[in-house]
Amino acid sequence: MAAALKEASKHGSLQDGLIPPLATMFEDVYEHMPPHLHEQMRQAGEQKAG
Amino acid sequence: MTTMTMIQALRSAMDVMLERDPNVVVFGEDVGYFGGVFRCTEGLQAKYGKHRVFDAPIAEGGIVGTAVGMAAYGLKPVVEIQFADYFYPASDQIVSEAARMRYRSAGDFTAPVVIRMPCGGGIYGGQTHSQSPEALFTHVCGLRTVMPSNPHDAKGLLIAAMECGDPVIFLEPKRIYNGPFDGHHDRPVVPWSAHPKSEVPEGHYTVPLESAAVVRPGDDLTVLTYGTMVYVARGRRARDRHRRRDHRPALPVAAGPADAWWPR
Repeated sequence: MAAALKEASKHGSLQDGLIPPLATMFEDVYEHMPPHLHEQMRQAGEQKAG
Repeated sequence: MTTMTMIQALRSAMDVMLERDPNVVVFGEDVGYFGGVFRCTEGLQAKYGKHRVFDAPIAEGGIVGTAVGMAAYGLKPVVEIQFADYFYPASDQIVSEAARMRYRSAGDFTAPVVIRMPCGGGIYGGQTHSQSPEALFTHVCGLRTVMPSNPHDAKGLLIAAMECGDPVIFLEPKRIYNGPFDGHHDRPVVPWSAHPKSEVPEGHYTVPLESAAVVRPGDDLTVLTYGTMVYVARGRRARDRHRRRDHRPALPVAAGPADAWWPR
Protein backbone atom coordinates (compact mmCIF):
# COMPACT_ATOMS: atom_id res chain seq x y z
CA MET A 1 0.00 0.00 0.00
CA ALA A 2 2.88 2.33 0.84
CA ALA A 3 4.40 1.54 -2.52
CA ALA A 4 1.15 2.31 -4.27
CA LEU A 5 0.92 5.64 -2.45
CA LYS A 6 4.47 6.47 -3.42
CA GLU A 7 3.76 5.62 -7.02
CA ALA A 8 0.59 7.71 -7.04
CA SER A 9 2.35 10.65 -5.44
CA LYS A 10 4.82 10.73 -8.32
CA HIS A 11 1.94 12.04 -10.44
CA GLY A 12 1.45 14.98 -8.11
CA SER A 13 -0.28 15.83 -4.85
CA LEU A 14 -1.57 18.86 -3.01
CA GLN A 15 1.74 18.99 -1.16
CA ASP A 16 3.49 19.93 -4.43
CA GLY A 17 1.92 23.35 -4.26
CA LEU A 18 0.39 22.77 -7.69
CA ILE A 19 -3.02 23.98 -6.62
CA PRO A 20 -5.20 25.04 -9.55
CA PRO A 21 -5.91 28.75 -9.82
CA LEU A 22 -8.92 29.96 -7.86
CA ALA A 23 -10.69 30.96 -11.07
CA THR A 24 -10.99 27.32 -12.15
CA MET A 25 -13.59 26.88 -9.43
CA PHE A 26 -15.87 29.24 -11.36
CA GLU A 27 -14.96 28.45 -14.96
CA ASP A 28 -16.73 25.81 -17.07
CA VAL A 29 -19.88 25.96 -14.98
CA TYR A 30 -21.76 27.77 -17.73
CA GLU A 31 -20.89 28.43 -21.35
CA HIS A 32 -20.49 32.09 -20.42
CA MET A 33 -19.79 33.01 -16.80
CA PRO A 34 -22.91 34.74 -15.44
CA PRO A 35 -22.67 37.91 -13.36
CA HIS A 36 -23.30 36.20 -10.04
CA LEU A 37 -20.35 33.84 -10.52
CA HIS A 38 -18.18 36.77 -11.59
CA GLU A 39 -19.08 38.47 -8.33
CA GLN A 40 -18.44 35.34 -6.26
CA MET A 41 -15.07 34.89 -7.99
CA ARG A 42 -14.18 38.50 -7.22
CA GLN A 43 -15.13 38.08 -3.56
CA ALA A 44 -13.16 34.83 -3.31
CA GLY A 45 -10.14 36.59 -4.79
CA GLU A 46 -10.43 39.35 -2.21
CA GLN A 47 -10.67 36.82 0.62
CA LYS A 48 -7.63 34.97 -0.67
CA ALA A 49 -5.65 38.18 -0.98
CA GLY A 50 -6.52 38.81 2.60
CA MET B 1 -47.62 38.15 -36.50
CA THR B 2 -50.43 35.88 -35.48
CA THR B 3 -52.38 35.34 -32.29
CA MET B 4 -51.29 32.29 -30.32
CA THR B 5 -51.98 30.70 -26.98
CA MET B 6 -48.93 29.72 -24.97
CA ILE B 7 -49.41 26.13 -26.12
CA GLN B 8 -49.39 27.18 -29.76
CA ALA B 9 -46.39 29.44 -29.17
CA LEU B 10 -44.38 26.64 -27.57
CA ARG B 11 -45.33 24.27 -30.41
CA SER B 12 -44.28 26.92 -32.91
CA ALA B 13 -40.89 27.26 -31.19
CA MET B 14 -40.23 23.53 -31.48
CA ASP B 15 -41.54 23.54 -35.05
CA VAL B 16 -39.17 26.36 -36.02
CA MET B 17 -36.17 24.67 -34.46
CA LEU B 18 -36.96 21.19 -35.79
CA GLU B 19 -37.07 22.81 -39.23
CA ARG B 20 -33.86 24.82 -38.79
CA ASP B 21 -31.62 22.37 -36.93
CA PRO B 22 -31.46 18.69 -37.90
CA ASN B 23 -29.86 17.92 -34.53
CA VAL B 24 -33.01 18.89 -32.62
CA VAL B 25 -35.02 15.95 -31.30
CA VAL B 26 -38.16 16.11 -29.16
CA PHE B 27 -39.25 13.27 -26.92
CA GLY B 28 -41.02 12.38 -23.71
CA GLU B 29 -44.11 10.65 -22.43
CA ASP B 30 -46.97 10.92 -24.97
CA VAL B 31 -45.32 13.73 -26.94
CA GLY B 32 -45.16 11.76 -30.21
CA TYR B 33 -48.31 10.12 -31.52
CA PHE B 34 -50.61 11.83 -29.01
CA GLY B 35 -48.96 15.25 -29.19
CA GLY B 36 -48.56 15.78 -25.46
CA VAL B 37 -51.15 15.85 -22.73
CA PHE B 38 -51.38 19.63 -23.17
CA ARG B 39 -51.02 19.36 -26.99
CA CYS B 40 -47.72 21.28 -27.10
CA THR B 41 -46.20 18.83 -29.58
CA GLU B 42 -49.36 18.10 -31.58
CA GLY B 43 -48.58 17.40 -35.23
CA LEU B 44 -44.81 17.50 -34.87
CA GLN B 45 -44.30 13.75 -35.21
CA ALA B 46 -46.43 13.67 -38.34
CA LYS B 47 -44.39 16.53 -39.77
CA TYR B 48 -40.87 15.48 -38.77
CA GLY B 49 -41.10 11.73 -38.32
CA LYS B 50 -40.73 9.23 -35.51
CA HIS B 51 -36.94 9.53 -35.46
CA ARG B 52 -37.14 13.21 -34.43
CA VAL B 53 -40.32 13.38 -32.33
CA PHE B 54 -41.05 10.26 -30.34
CA ASP B 55 -42.59 8.75 -27.24
CA ALA B 56 -40.58 7.59 -24.24
CA PRO B 57 -41.35 5.07 -21.51
CA ILE B 58 -42.69 6.34 -18.21
CA ALA B 59 -39.21 6.74 -16.75
CA GLU B 60 -38.12 10.32 -16.16
CA GLY B 61 -34.60 9.31 -15.14
CA GLY B 62 -34.25 7.45 -18.42
CA ILE B 63 -35.67 10.34 -20.43
CA VAL B 64 -33.25 12.89 -19.02
CA GLY B 65 -30.33 10.46 -18.95
CA THR B 66 -30.86 9.64 -22.61
CA ALA B 67 -31.06 13.33 -23.39
CA VAL B 68 -27.81 14.03 -21.56
CA GLY B 69 -26.06 11.35 -23.62
CA MET B 70 -27.55 12.70 -26.83
CA ALA B 71 -26.46 16.23 -25.96
CA ALA B 72 -22.92 15.13 -25.13
CA TYR B 73 -22.87 13.46 -28.54
CA GLY B 74 -23.91 16.69 -30.28
CA LEU B 75 -27.67 16.45 -30.60
CA LYS B 76 -30.06 19.07 -29.22
CA PRO B 77 -32.68 17.15 -27.26
CA VAL B 78 -35.83 18.84 -26.00
CA VAL B 79 -37.56 16.55 -23.55
CA GLU B 80 -40.86 16.91 -21.78
CA ILE B 81 -41.47 15.88 -18.20
CA GLN B 82 -45.23 15.48 -18.39
CA PHE B 83 -45.78 17.39 -15.12
CA ALA B 84 -43.05 19.11 -13.12
CA ASP B 85 -44.23 17.00 -10.20
CA TYR B 86 -42.68 13.98 -11.96
CA PHE B 87 -39.13 15.27 -12.31
CA TYR B 88 -37.87 13.86 -8.99
CA PRO B 89 -36.79 10.48 -10.40
CA ALA B 90 -34.64 12.44 -12.87
CA SER B 91 -33.02 14.59 -10.18
CA ASP B 92 -29.70 12.75 -10.30
CA GLN B 93 -29.48 13.01 -14.08
CA ILE B 94 -30.35 16.71 -13.95
CA VAL B 95 -28.09 17.74 -11.08
CA SER B 96 -25.22 15.25 -11.19
CA GLU B 97 -24.98 14.79 -14.96
CA ALA B 98 -26.55 17.60 -17.00
CA ALA B 99 -25.59 20.46 -14.70
CA ARG B 100 -22.08 19.12 -13.99
CA MET B 101 -21.02 17.84 -17.41
CA ARG B 102 -19.17 20.96 -18.51
CA TYR B 103 -17.36 21.49 -15.20
CA ARG B 104 -16.51 17.85 -14.66
CA SER B 105 -14.88 17.59 -18.07
CA ALA B 106 -13.24 21.05 -17.97
CA GLY B 107 -15.35 22.04 -20.93
CA ASP B 108 -14.60 18.99 -23.09
CA PHE B 109 -18.22 17.79 -22.91
CA THR B 110 -21.46 19.69 -22.50
CA ALA B 111 -25.10 18.78 -22.01
CA PRO B 112 -27.21 21.47 -23.65
CA VAL B 113 -30.55 19.80 -23.04
CA VAL B 114 -33.87 21.58 -22.69
CA ILE B 115 -36.16 20.00 -20.12
CA ARG B 116 -39.72 21.28 -20.48
CA MET B 117 -42.10 20.86 -17.57
CA PRO B 118 -45.69 22.08 -17.12
CA CYS B 119 -45.81 23.39 -13.58
CA GLY B 120 -47.88 25.12 -10.95
CA GLY B 121 -51.43 24.88 -9.73
CA GLY B 122 -54.73 26.33 -10.70
CA ILE B 123 -56.14 23.47 -12.77
CA TYR B 124 -57.49 21.37 -9.89
CA GLY B 125 -54.75 18.83 -10.51
CA GLY B 126 -54.24 17.80 -6.92
CA GLN B 127 -50.97 17.11 -5.20
CA THR B 128 -49.21 15.35 -8.06
CA HIS B 129 -50.12 17.77 -10.85
CA SER B 130 -49.72 21.17 -9.21
CA GLN B 131 -46.20 21.54 -7.85
CA SER B 132 -43.88 24.50 -8.38
CA PRO B 133 -40.31 23.19 -8.01
CA GLU B 134 -38.52 26.08 -9.72
CA ALA B 135 -36.69 27.18 -6.56
CA LEU B 136 -34.92 23.82 -6.41
CA PHE B 137 -33.41 24.31 -9.86
CA THR B 138 -32.29 27.89 -9.28
CA HIS B 139 -29.95 26.65 -6.56
CA VAL B 140 -28.11 24.25 -8.87
CA CYS B 141 -25.03 25.72 -10.50
CA GLY B 142 -24.81 24.79 -14.14
CA LEU B 143 -28.56 24.91 -14.76
CA ARG B 144 -30.52 27.77 -16.21
CA THR B 145 -34.09 28.05 -15.04
CA VAL B 146 -36.70 29.77 -17.18
CA MET B 147 -40.41 30.41 -16.76
CA PRO B 148 -42.34 32.47 -19.32
CA SER B 149 -45.50 34.41 -18.54
CA ASN B 150 -47.03 34.96 -21.97
CA PRO B 151 -47.09 33.42 -25.47
CA HIS B 152 -44.66 35.89 -27.05
CA ASP B 153 -41.99 35.33 -24.42
CA ALA B 154 -42.69 31.59 -24.27
CA LYS B 155 -41.74 31.07 -27.90
CA GLY B 156 -38.75 33.43 -27.83
CA LEU B 157 -37.42 31.95 -24.61
CA LEU B 158 -37.85 28.35 -25.73
CA ILE B 159 -35.93 29.02 -28.94
CA ALA B 160 -33.24 30.80 -26.91
CA ALA B 161 -33.13 27.81 -24.57
CA MET B 162 -32.71 25.43 -27.51
CA GLU B 163 -29.85 27.55 -28.86
CA CYS B 164 -28.20 27.88 -25.43
CA GLY B 165 -25.06 25.91 -24.65
CA ASP B 166 -26.19 25.18 -21.10
CA PRO B 167 -28.87 22.81 -19.79
CA VAL B 168 -32.12 24.69 -19.39
CA ILE B 169 -35.05 23.85 -17.14
CA PHE B 170 -38.03 25.32 -18.97
CA LEU B 171 -41.05 25.57 -16.69
CA GLU B 172 -44.45 26.23 -18.24
CA PRO B 173 -47.19 27.55 -15.90
CA LYS B 174 -50.06 25.38 -17.01
CA ARG B 175 -52.68 27.70 -15.54
CA ILE B 176 -51.83 30.29 -18.19
CA TYR B 177 -51.42 27.91 -21.14
CA ASN B 178 -54.72 29.17 -22.52
CA GLY B 179 -55.03 32.63 -21.02
CA PRO B 180 -53.83 34.95 -18.25
CA PHE B 181 -55.19 34.35 -14.76
CA ASP B 182 -55.69 37.07 -12.15
CA GLY B 183 -56.27 34.74 -9.21
CA HIS B 184 -60.05 34.62 -9.33
CA HIS B 185 -61.23 31.07 -10.01
CA ASP B 186 -64.85 32.18 -10.04
CA ARG B 187 -64.46 34.51 -13.02
CA PRO B 188 -64.68 33.52 -16.69
CA VAL B 189 -61.46 32.44 -18.37
CA VAL B 190 -59.86 35.26 -20.34
CA PRO B 191 -58.38 33.97 -23.61
CA TRP B 192 -54.91 34.93 -24.79
CA SER B 193 -56.46 36.40 -27.93
CA ALA B 194 -57.59 39.36 -25.81
CA HIS B 195 -54.02 40.02 -24.59
CA PRO B 196 -51.38 41.94 -26.58
CA LYS B 197 -48.66 39.42 -25.67
CA SER B 198 -50.52 36.79 -27.70
CA GLU B 199 -49.16 38.47 -30.84
CA VAL B 200 -46.39 36.08 -31.81
CA PRO B 201 -44.09 36.15 -34.87
CA GLU B 202 -44.46 32.94 -36.89
CA GLY B 203 -40.75 32.52 -37.59
CA HIS B 204 -37.54 32.49 -35.60
CA TYR B 205 -36.83 35.00 -32.84
CA THR B 206 -35.41 34.86 -29.36
CA VAL B 207 -36.04 36.51 -25.99
CA PRO B 208 -32.82 36.73 -23.92
CA LEU B 209 -32.75 34.23 -21.06
CA GLU B 210 -31.14 36.78 -18.72
CA SER B 211 -33.90 39.32 -18.98
CA ALA B 212 -36.82 40.73 -17.09
CA ALA B 213 -39.39 43.33 -18.00
CA VAL B 214 -41.04 46.13 -16.09
CA VAL B 215 -44.79 45.80 -16.51
CA ARG B 216 -45.71 48.99 -14.72
CA PRO B 217 -43.14 51.51 -13.50
CA GLY B 218 -43.33 53.24 -10.13
CA ASP B 219 -41.20 54.60 -7.32
CA ASP B 220 -42.18 53.06 -3.99
CA LEU B 221 -42.23 49.30 -4.30
CA THR B 222 -40.99 46.56 -6.61
CA VAL B 223 -42.97 43.35 -6.92
CA LEU B 224 -40.68 40.78 -8.50
CA THR B 225 -42.48 37.78 -9.86
CA TYR B 226 -42.84 35.40 -12.81
CA GLY B 227 -45.21 33.04 -14.55
CA THR B 228 -48.83 32.98 -13.46
CA MET B 229 -48.18 35.31 -10.54
CA VAL B 230 -47.45 38.20 -12.90
CA TYR B 231 -51.17 38.42 -13.58
CA VAL B 232 -52.18 37.75 -9.99
CA ALA B 233 -49.84 40.57 -8.88
CA ARG B 234 -51.26 42.90 -11.49
CA GLY B 235 -54.79 42.04 -10.44
CA ARG B 236 -53.90 42.69 -6.83
CA ARG B 237 -52.22 45.92 -7.75
CA ALA B 238 -55.37 47.10 -9.54
CA ARG B 239 -57.43 46.42 -6.43
CA ASP B 240 -54.95 48.23 -4.19
CA ARG B 241 -54.46 51.20 -6.43
CA HIS B 242 -56.88 53.36 -4.50
CA ARG B 243 -54.99 52.69 -1.26
CA ARG B 244 -51.34 52.68 -2.32
CA ARG B 245 -49.90 54.44 -5.31
CA ASP B 246 -46.96 53.56 -7.51
CA HIS B 247 -46.61 49.83 -6.99
CA ARG B 248 -44.14 48.53 -9.46
CA PRO B 249 -44.90 45.00 -10.55
CA ALA B 250 -42.03 43.71 -12.62
CA LEU B 251 -42.36 40.91 -15.13
CA PRO B 252 -39.33 38.69 -15.10
CA VAL B 253 -39.23 36.11 -17.83
CA ALA B 254 -36.49 34.01 -16.28
CA ALA B 255 -36.20 32.73 -12.75
CA GLY B 256 -32.73 32.29 -11.30
CA PRO B 257 -30.23 33.63 -8.80
CA ALA B 258 -31.71 37.04 -8.22
CA ASP B 259 -28.52 39.01 -8.46
CA ALA B 260 -27.62 37.48 -11.78
CA TRP B 261 -30.75 36.87 -13.72
CA TRP B 262 -33.09 39.65 -12.67
CA PRO B 263 -30.97 42.59 -13.69
CA ARG B 264 -33.52 45.37 -13.52
